[in-house]
Amino acid sequence: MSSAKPAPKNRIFDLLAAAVLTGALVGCTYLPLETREVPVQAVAVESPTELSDAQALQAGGAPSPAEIQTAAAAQSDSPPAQSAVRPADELDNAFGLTRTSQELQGHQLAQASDIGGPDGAEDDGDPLEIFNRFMFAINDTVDIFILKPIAVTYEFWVPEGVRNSVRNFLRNLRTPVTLANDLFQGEMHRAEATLARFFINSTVGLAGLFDIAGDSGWDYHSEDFGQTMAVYGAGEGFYLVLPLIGPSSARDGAGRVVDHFLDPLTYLLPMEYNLGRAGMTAVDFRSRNLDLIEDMKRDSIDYYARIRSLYRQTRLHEISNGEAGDAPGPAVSKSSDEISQLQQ
Amino acid sequence: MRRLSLLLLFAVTLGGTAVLDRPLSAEDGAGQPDSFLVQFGNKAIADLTDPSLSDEAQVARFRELLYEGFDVPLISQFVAGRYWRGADEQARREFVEVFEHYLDQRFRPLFREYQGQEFRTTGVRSDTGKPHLSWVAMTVDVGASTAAKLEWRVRKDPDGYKILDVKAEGVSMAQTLRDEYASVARRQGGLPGLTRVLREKIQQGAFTPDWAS
Repeated sequence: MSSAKPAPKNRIFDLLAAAVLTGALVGCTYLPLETREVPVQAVAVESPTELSDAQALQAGGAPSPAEIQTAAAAQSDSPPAQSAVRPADELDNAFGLTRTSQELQGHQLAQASDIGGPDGAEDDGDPLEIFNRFMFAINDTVDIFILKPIAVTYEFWVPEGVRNSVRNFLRNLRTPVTLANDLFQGEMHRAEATLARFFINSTVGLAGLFDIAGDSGWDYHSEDFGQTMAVYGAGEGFYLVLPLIGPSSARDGAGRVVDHFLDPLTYLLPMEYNLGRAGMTAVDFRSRNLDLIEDMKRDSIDYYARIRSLYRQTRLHEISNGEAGDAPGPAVSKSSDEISQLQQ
Repeated sequence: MRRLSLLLLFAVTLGGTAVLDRPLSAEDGAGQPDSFLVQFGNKAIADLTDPSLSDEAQVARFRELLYEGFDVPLISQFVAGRYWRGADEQARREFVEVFEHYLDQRFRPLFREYQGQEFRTTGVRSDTGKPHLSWVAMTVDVGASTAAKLEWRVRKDPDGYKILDVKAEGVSMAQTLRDEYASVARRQGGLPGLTRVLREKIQQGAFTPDWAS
């Protein structure tokens, strides 16, 4: 069942993967976070506030509190239509709010940044949008005609306990990749958890079919080389929709290729097996999210843009291991917390 | 595709069932952000699941609660992003009005799911560098054996608290809408185009959950 040398087909695949890796890394190099995140030149400056923010960011940092105060003062002299923050009186009068103008003046700019910072420069970070939307439509078609019917059938006929065991088994197979990336990131506690899960679930858990370690407090987590690169400062690069795989980026796409090489099963088992494993992972995921995906499609006015936003925010969350969801990151418009941290 | 599982928690939390981790005790101060959230949430559930309310009265009550607990104008401005600045007053008013309709159509039906439930929080943390902002955490059940972490961003005002945003597993609702709306506004000619698209979807009842339509 296994062979010491990769099969010829695997070698061809590896060569292709290496080519993709090289291209993606080049993409990351030419589109680093710092130069792509705030495209000051590309944004029409409409108000003194935006100008000061943009200048400060272009100089390598966020506006200081003093600059924000200055901008607030300048903003109060701006015509309402060009205000960078809420013309609070207009909206409050329209909706019968009772706060006075004076109260709002004191908090106006601060409040505007409370959710996500002054609305200044924004960038989709998606120079390949036409290609990506095309690929997104293809993936969606594949999902509608192939993946979803299989997932519905799987969810209907296979008992939940069996489906959980399938997921546990697939997760256990991914241990080497997660462990390697835990170590690359210097996350020793998480590496310990990964290793403990593997030994417990592979033995007591019957080759990973049962998540005994999870029940004992060793919670599952996943790491990949895209996250590792991000931890070491690599920017997201451009947004990328991969065929069949879905939302990704130059960095994360390159990370996938590295993960492919990091996975011992790539070398031990034929490519058909690995494709089957990827297919089963997709079916498992899809079967667990049948209603949610339908909800998202119905609820969106631009499904592609929503998925892109969700992907980026989730990656930020994963990169920070859920500890700093407000941390700065690639391609997501700066939130107030991101600006706060840049100021420090 | 695998990563979408986390992304989709965002959608679930909007209609999920609260997990009761820490009941609000009598000792909790009424002036704390978690107390505000619990009291506001429980009041909203009680009011919006009252069977004696007619549909019209329920709509009116939902909108009262919306403005009582959320800074709707500020959220509207935020989700409109840069297209807010380029729009005139009329376009802004229309957008806020349509956005309010969107919130009503999307979220009011969800309260039926909450009948008999209580909001419970799991902790509060201050926002770094912004003492008037707090994050109130709670956990929501998104399946038989899966829970998601939810955080509400709450601002302290002189006259109480206002909710500004909600995050599920690191995904911000306001940021997601902002990104999506920016994409639509860019292709539809700014804020008026975005407002038109939203209005059309609302007229189709597109935001009403399937089970509620």
